[in-house]
Amino acid sequence: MLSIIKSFGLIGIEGYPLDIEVDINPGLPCYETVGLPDTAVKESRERVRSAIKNSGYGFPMERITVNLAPADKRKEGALYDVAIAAGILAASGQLPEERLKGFVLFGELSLDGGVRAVNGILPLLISAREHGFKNVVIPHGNSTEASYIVGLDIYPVESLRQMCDFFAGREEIPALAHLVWEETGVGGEKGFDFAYVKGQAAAKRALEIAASGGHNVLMIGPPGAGKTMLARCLPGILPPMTFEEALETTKIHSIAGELDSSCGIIKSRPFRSPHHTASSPSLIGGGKNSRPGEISLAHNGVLFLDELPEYPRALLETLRQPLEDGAVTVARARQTVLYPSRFMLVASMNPCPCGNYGSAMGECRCAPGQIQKYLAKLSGPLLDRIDIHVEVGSVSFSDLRSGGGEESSGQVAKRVRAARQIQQQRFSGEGIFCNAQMNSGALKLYCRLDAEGERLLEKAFSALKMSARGHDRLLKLSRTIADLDQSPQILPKHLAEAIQYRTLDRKYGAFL
Amino acid sequence: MIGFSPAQKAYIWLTSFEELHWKSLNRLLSRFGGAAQLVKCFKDREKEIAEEIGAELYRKMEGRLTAAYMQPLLGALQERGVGIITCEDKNYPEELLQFEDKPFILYTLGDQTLLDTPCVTIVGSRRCTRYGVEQTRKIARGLCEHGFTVVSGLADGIDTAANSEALQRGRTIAVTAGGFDHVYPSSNKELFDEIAKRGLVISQFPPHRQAIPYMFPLRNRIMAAVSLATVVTEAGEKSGALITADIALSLGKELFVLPGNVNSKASAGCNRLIKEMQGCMITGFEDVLLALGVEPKGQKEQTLPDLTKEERVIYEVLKMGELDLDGIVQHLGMSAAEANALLSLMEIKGTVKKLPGGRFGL
Ligand SMILES: Nc1ncnc2c1ncn2[C@@H]1O[C@H](COP(=O)(O)OP(=O)(O)OP(=O)(O)O)[C@@H](O)[C@H]1O
Ligand SMILES: [Mg+2]
Ligand SMILES: [Zn+2]
Repeated sequence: MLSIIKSFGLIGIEGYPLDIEVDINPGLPCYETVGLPDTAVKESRERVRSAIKNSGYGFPMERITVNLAPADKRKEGALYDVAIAAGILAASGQLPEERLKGFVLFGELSLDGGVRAVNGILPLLISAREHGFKNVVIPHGNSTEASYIVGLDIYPVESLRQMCDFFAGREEIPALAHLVWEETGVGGEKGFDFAYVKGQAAAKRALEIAASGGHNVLMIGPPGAGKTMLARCLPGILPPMTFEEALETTKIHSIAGELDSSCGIIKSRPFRSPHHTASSPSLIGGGKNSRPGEISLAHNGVLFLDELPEYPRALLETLRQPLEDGAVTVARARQTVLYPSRFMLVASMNPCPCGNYGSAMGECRCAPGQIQKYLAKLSGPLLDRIDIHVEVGSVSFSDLRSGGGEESSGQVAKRVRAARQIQQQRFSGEGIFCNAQMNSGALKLYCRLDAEGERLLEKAFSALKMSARGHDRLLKLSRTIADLDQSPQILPKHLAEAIQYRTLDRKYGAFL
Repeated sequence: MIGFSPAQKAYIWLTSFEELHWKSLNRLLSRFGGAAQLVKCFKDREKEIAEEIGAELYRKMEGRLTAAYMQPLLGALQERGVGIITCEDKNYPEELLQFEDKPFILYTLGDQTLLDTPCVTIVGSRRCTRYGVEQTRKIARGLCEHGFTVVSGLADGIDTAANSEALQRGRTIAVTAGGFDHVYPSSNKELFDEIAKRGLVISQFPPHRQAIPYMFPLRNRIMAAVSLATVVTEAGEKSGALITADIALSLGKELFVLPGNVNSKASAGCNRLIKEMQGCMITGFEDVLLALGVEPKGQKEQTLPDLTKEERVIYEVLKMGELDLDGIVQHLGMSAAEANALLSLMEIKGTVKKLPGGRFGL
């Protein structure tokens, strides 16, 4: 007898419908899985067999063929155990097949018949809904995550037995109650708030501008100056995530298996800080299971590269395309997978090999040649995508001990949000969201300077010996600063302030 | 185009033969009464000359006593605008004549008349600290403001600070070890070009010669010789600046040394000099001036016509010392945004400088 169960597979963060066909024929006992299964799928045979037996059902001693269709897509993971078990039970007449019609099943089985949570439930459910399905059975462990999806009746089960009882009409399972999305006031991690960072007026202001316009930032400072601490505060001043953003980010984390099952959906912007020894697949994505990499896990949040010159140049080069496109293509055997990766890049570095160059406290005796060589390690094209350079000095002990008086992240976040709103209106319908994304056409349109501003720009370039490469970035920054100031026109003072955040365009390291 | 005197041409020709030992050349010069004379008689007095320099070299040189040989030599110098000062020229630094192995030619780019102005040499380590750079700049500036020309060696670190500060504040001479085609360190190429335009660059070696270690002490000798006094602002135990200091003393010139923190390796050489000869210690350019018999001008208020009221406030605060943005914001009670904007405007006017490490100073 043949039975067909519906499930879904994933390519990247997109799901596609899958038929799990189980055919049982008389003959010598044998079990075959076809339809491009990976090892985890093939191994489902053992889990399914034990789970069926341990749930009080009989495992048919006949020829069993499991086909995962369409056959041209590779199937990964233990996601289909529950569907295969249901198919076997239906095909062997132990479960009423007509009750299964219209249901989509997901779940991994353990040998005792328990149902285990799976990765990627959020994108799977969303595509099931898009394909017009109404009823879904999911592992109980995925409940919180799933409860943000409206428009589906979702039935969480803890065991194969419970699911069978449900389909046999012996047990009622209430559909999941939906959780309503609430925008949290402040994103970011607990304990990382501007209120706790003493001093660092320049760095805080730079991060505020960065958050407002979506600009990438490079922080330059001696060891222990607080660069890491400042970077970790950044998610807290970014505008709160919208539901769509949260869903997108959660989808990626769900696929990567990085989701904390108790919180369900990711509410605060992610902060990812891969180490400089990270491999290319772990940073960019890919590898055997074409997992999303750190840059996708940072989607809608912050990617922090601490000690930028330590990262292999080749690795940094691969960041260029995702920085440009907000998405990354991960190639694999049969298809390429596209993962979103719209993140803010925050990088930090020391100003010289010993770290103390320019510091008021430590002694630096690095030769200018050494310093230049150190700075030259930064990849030019990557540097070209960083709008803000800010020097972070060490804060003196007495300043660290001084009490209070620092603005909280919440207060800064308010200004950031107001500036973002201006940008949303400005760019509505243009497919960009913030000033950092302006192309040269938009730049011409929105970053006009008045006559005084033009004069100032010219003088700045000649007097401060700035390199022309930074010209467009300077204008974008000025635009964001004007937005923070609620000013429709970019005024000379906005441009003047922006100049302070383009340090590396100056003759850095030279004493001239 | 620079024209060369017969004596200068003679020296260019003579020194183009690297095999010709300076001792031989010295003897020939004194016997013939100068380079022009020597070249003039070169063919006629074969026996005498060949005896001194060897027959082989004589034949080689005689064969090249032609316009065809000379023209490229002169052309190369003229094309680059390189001038020369020979040891027979009036403006050749007198003290150098005391050395037997003196340079026969000093190659120059820029204004040779700077050698007629009162000069003070400032030297120090390549690997220096912020303290060293700051003090060097202060001293260079103070000396410039009192009419001195600052001489240094255009090396990394202290030399660069001295040369570049003096270039901005007054007059400067850079003495390089190698020839002008090989600026070392290459990071100073721009500074080199500026000094060649608005100051003076000197080298003992023709443009095509690359610097090799033995040339650096020779460079130091020129630095010590052309000036009235030498100041060592920051030097570690093995710094080449100590060689310059030695030569200055042996030439009977004044030596001034700036002390450093006793823990600072970068100042170990300076501190040792001070321990050995206490009179040389200075704490600022005023001490140099007084020793040279120049009355330091009172710190007269510079007129800064184009400062706005807010800018003036920042200016007054920075007069008391460098500050980072935190310091400025705290002192003035303005926002980081306002302060940054003002600082940019002041930087463009040239009244404020952004320093490494996000600090600001005047
Ligand atoms: N401005 C500050 N206010 C409060 N605490 C600070 C500040 N600066 C530094 N700290 C403290 O110093 C610690 C070290 O700072 P952090 O690790 O952020 O420095 P860093 O610049 O990233 O250094 P490194 O270059 O060594 O990575 C922080 O955990 C924090 O406790
Ligand atoms: Mg750090
Ligand atoms: Zn250093």
